Amino acid sequence: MTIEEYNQAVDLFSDNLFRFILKNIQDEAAAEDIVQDAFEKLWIRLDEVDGSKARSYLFTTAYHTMIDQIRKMQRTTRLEKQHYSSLSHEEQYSDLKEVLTHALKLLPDDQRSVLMLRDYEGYSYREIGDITGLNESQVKVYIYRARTFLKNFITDPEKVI
Amino acid sequence: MKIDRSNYEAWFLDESEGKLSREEQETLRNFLLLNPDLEEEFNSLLRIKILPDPVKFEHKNDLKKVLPPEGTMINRFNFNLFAIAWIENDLLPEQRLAFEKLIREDAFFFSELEAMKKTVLLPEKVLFKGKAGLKKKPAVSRRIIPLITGLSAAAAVVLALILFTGNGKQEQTLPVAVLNKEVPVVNEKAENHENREEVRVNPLTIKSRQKEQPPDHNAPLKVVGTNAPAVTTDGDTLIGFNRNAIQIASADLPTGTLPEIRPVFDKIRPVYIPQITSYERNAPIQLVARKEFERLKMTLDNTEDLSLWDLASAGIRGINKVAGTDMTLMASRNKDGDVAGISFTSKAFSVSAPLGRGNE
Repeated sequence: MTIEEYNQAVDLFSDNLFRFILKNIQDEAAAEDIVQDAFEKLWIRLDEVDGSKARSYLFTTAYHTMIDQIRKMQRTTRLEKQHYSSLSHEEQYSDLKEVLTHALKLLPDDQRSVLMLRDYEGYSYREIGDITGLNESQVKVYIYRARTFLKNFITDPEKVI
Repeated sequence: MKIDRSNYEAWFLDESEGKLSREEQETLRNFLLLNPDLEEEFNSLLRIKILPDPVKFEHKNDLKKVLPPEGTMINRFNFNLFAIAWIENDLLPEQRLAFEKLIREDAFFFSELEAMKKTVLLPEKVLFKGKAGLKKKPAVSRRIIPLITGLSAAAAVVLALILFTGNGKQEQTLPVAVLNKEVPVVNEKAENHENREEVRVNPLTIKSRQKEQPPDHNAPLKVVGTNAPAVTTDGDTLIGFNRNAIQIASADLPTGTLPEIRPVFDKIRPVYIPQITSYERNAPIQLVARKEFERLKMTLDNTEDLSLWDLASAGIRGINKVAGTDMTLMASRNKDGDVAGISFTSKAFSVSAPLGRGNE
């Protein structure tokens, strides 16, 4: 990978990578750190990473760094329980985007990551599996569960005006 | 390997796997004739040879996942499965057709699909502010250009310092000489490298410049022409020198002007500032710059005061390397060991001047 390709990767992927991390961890400063860390790792391995694989390398690196960080924050186990209990809350939303944004936060980390890689980045099941370390079946299951949860959340009449 | 009772098992195994050559098989047969008690063991080993038995797992296709399974009828309980598979484009062609037909005909399923469609996340535009900071520049731009700039600036500043402080005569235009190709180089020793010495031995320091030393009002300025003057008009080029600038002009001066300028090279022992070597000229600028900085660092480590000469040396060498020029800066020392004069030489012109301490 050349320096030009690296700089092109900054232009092409840093926004999306930042969005992916930010939507997952909801912490702008931490998301910036993770993005910078991913690009720094790419820079260090410039000679080893093929230019066409830069995007995948960045998302894989950032994803694992993010997971490590989430584990450190001890959030992983809490969210699975939280999203069921949150179904009964009384919040009201003005539009679908707000509902989805909130619902997305309630998804377990794995499901949220997989769904965002699918919808935001358009990755295939296999590519998502490569990034997250899951097999294709697991990816499909997580996507299924995530969409089912989101659909149930947004169709609850109490939650949408 | 010779067969004996300690290793015959290996021979038996090789024979059972067909790995023995004809000669080895003959050796094995002879061994068995001599050791008949092992013949039964040998024969039993051959009998228990396991042949590959093609076993197939018959339910392989059942393990393959199709979302939803082929032939499944769509109903209220599995609708989400179909709807998600439809969104993800995972349905088989016939499943897709059946599903879309159902959607068209059933209002409930239509509304359910519309709800499911809303789960598709639409990408938001999120900007990463630190993008510019992530970008990298080629190493030569990132590291070397500032060095080159620094070296050049150092050379310019130090040369200016030396030249501006090098003459005690203020506000007065110094003697002017005719720059002429026929003007001889006065000091032959200047060309003799053996007589040169490193200025670093006794560097001119800021501190030393504060020493009181009586100015030499008679110190002449010598301008020596070279074979390639910078400016020529009608054969003669003037170079004037005062505290503020080097002036280059063209004029016809009488030949008698020359004797008024007293050469001082006999008092100046030139101080050698090494030129760019042919190796360095072909070496990457990084290497030259690094060497110069190492040299400066050594000077800084060894002395309390920063040597202007070392800075000038580094700068001039940097300029020579970058610009392909061939400038040298030499200095002489007086009997007290202080630098007493300088000589600057380039392809265009040479200037020598005493270093005054200022009489104001």
